[in-house]
Amino acid sequence: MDTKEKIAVIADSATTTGFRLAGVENTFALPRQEEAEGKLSELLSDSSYGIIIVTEALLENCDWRLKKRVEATAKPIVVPIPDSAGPIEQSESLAMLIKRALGLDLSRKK
Amino acid sequence: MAENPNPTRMELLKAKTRVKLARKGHKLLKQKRDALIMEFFKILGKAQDLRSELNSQMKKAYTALAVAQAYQGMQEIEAASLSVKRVPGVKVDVRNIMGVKIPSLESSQVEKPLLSRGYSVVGTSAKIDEVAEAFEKATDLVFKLSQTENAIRRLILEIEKTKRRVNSLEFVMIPRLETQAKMISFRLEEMERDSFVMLKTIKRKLEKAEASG
Repeated sequence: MDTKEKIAVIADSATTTGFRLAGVENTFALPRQEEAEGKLSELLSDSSYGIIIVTEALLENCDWRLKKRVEATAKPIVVPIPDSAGPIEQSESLAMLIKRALGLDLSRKK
Repeated sequence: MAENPNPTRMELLKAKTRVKLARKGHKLLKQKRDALIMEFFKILGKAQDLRSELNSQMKKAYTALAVAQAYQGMQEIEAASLSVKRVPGVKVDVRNIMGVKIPSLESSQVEKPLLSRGYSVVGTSAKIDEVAEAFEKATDLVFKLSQTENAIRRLILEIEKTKRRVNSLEFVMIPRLETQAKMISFRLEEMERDSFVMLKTIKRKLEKAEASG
């Protein structure tokens, strides 16, 4: 793993098992919000990680300072995925952001 | 920037250069905004489809996992998951578009054929294979999605910021600076007329004094 960057998953244990089955090495089964937040902030400053996969619920409920940090960093990339309860409506969904920035609703055209 | 500057020629020159500078900045920012919007539309279509694809794929994966759990129990799945061959990792580069840092990603295919997964196919059930396949597909989608969605999010935020700047220059700053320059030039003209009249009056008075004196 010379120049390659690692992939991490921070989620509940079911999700991490699934991703480990897919071959993702660094999985952290941390169902508790505080622990997960601590791990996320630790991994954000670790340059050996390229992608951090987190559950939507974790990102949605975490501290606003951490959320801001997640938004500001380009690397590692933080990708929210739905957890086993299904996708939740993000408070700042893409469609909303687009509507605010461009002044037109793109999602409704389709 | 003083609201009521002294009506001098120096101030007039200063105000004029300020207007020019603001115009230049406005033009540049407008170009930046247009470039960002173009970049944005380039990747927009991709991200939207991928997100819904990922959502449905994750749902499938969770269902498969639940089924496998019911058949095999969590322990066996965990055991299998420990011996899976690792994915080779990714390469993340940061691209810079008009000052917006956008990650771009190089990754290899995660989805593997059945026999090269690493755990014993004979010793485990097909349910586990299904789970593995579903999560591999999901991981592939996550990789694809990660760069587009992240990029879009960043681009949108930057577009919004730039738009706000463009508008504030166009509708607040430039008009204000222009009125200031105009005010100064009006005052200067007024003063010129004033002094002209004053000189005339003095001249007339002097002439009158000479004639009588």
